Amino acid sequence: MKMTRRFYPKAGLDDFLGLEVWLEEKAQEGWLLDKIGGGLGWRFRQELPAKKVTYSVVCDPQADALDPKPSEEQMIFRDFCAHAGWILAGTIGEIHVFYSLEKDPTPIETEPAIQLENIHRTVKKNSLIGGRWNLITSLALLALFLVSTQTNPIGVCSSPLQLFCGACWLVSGLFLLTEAVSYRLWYRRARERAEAGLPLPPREKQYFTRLYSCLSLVLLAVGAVLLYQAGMVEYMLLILLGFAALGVVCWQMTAEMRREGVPAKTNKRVSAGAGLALGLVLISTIVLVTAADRQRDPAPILPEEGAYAENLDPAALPLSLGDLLGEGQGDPEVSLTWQGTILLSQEEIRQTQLGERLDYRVIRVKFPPLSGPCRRQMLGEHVDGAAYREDNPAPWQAEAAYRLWTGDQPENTYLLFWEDVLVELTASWSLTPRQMEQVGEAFGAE
Amino acid sequence: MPRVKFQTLTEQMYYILLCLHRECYGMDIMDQIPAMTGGRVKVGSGTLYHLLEQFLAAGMIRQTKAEGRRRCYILTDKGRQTLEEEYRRLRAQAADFRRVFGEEDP
Repeated sequence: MKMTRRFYPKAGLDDFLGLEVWLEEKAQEGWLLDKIGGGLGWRFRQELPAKKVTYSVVCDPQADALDPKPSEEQMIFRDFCAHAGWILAGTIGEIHVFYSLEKDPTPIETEPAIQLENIHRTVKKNSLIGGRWNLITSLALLALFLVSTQTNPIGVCSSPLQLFCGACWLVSGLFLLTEAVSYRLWYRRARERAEAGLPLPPREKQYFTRLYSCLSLVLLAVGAVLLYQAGMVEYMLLILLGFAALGVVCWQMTAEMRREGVPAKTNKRVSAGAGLALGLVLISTIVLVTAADRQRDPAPILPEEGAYAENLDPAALPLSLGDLLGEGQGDPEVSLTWQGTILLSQEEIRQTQLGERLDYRVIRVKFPPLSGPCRRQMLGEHVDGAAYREDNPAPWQAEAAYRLWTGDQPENTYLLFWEDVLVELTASWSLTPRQMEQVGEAFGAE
Repeated sequence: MPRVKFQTLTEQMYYILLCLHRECYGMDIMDQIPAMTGGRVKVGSGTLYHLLEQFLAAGMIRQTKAEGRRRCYILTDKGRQTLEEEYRRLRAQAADFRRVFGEEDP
């Protein structure tokens, strides 16, 4: 039994010349390609002594990875190649890899224009580069994310999960867009050479691939740190495991349909539909599970360590009812909701004590350019019939102050802005000038 | 302005059509062309396969019989006309060359 080993290809599936060079190098080391594909690399068998082998990577746009078996046309194509001494080493989708043991074999492709036409037909079938629907989806999600940073900067920039997803859409959108542009530029060069009868240029993307890999690793590391700081590592592991399981299920479904002889087009449609439906179920489940989990009552914790807590020690709060109304009135009921990232954090604190109520939301802006959009969002957040009007900031020692009015009736709800601290405060009584000063001391001094 | 397909033929297209002036199996063309040209012109197996498909779609050749996966083809009138036009073009080029360099007709 011959020894086999797996190696990862050094060139992408769309870099035919790079693949041929790599395969020929492997042959000189005594390894011949046995099977293409698989997450663990391509399988090679040892053939000693090492032989001088010529490899040829070609594109047959009529082939499809989900074909239950090669069609008659594909078999005729292989017969033609076999007649010329080319042995089929393996296929993956439209890509066929042949090798020849002859000295100076006639290449399989001798007409560059025909070769380019086959490559272009295959690319248009979305086999070689990502797919236009993936590109549209990624760019649409990225656009939605960027729009939401303008319409809801507080919610988005204080949420580690949303920032992590935004980083993922950015990375995937950039990758797919760059692939599409890179292919267009290569196709233009290739067409000029093909019209002159010259061999097609190689698709050299090593620098782009390395740069993109580094960028992806950095963004994913930042995302992982964000989630770790927010105590959301368990949720992210749940999401990753869920999607890994979804991938396995879809792959099994596709492979089973292929074994049963289902035509490739039907297989693709059923797999895509099932994948979409299962993906929606998975995402809905994750959202419901995480929302339910965050509603449970955890042990009392300090604001900067947790997402939700009740029965906190008022001394841990920046401003308590006791600070404004005086001590000796019993323990207030306190609840806190907090979330934050390296860009921005927000905490909502609700306190009730002997019929009096003090609610405030504190936005701490750590990335200064976000201050303006956050202020605009807070000024725009009001119920129908109510609106914020500019108020005197002096009693609060703030940069700006606004009070909520419902028609001609002032409410005890204020927006207070300092340089990097924004506060929305609601009290169940009308604050005195001294209490306003205390609020300013509590938040303005941060 | 993009060139019409098969308006001019490449060397490989020309010799494939030439081989099909008589009924011939597609695969055998791969051996006939080097024999015809003294090894000067060779056509790749993949290129031959795709060009036969394109000639069929363009109506320049037609399939005469099939034995399993082996298929036989022959030129149609349209294919013959295309071939003759290419021949006239090449003759005109050769004549222009002789005129410019003052060579005698062979």
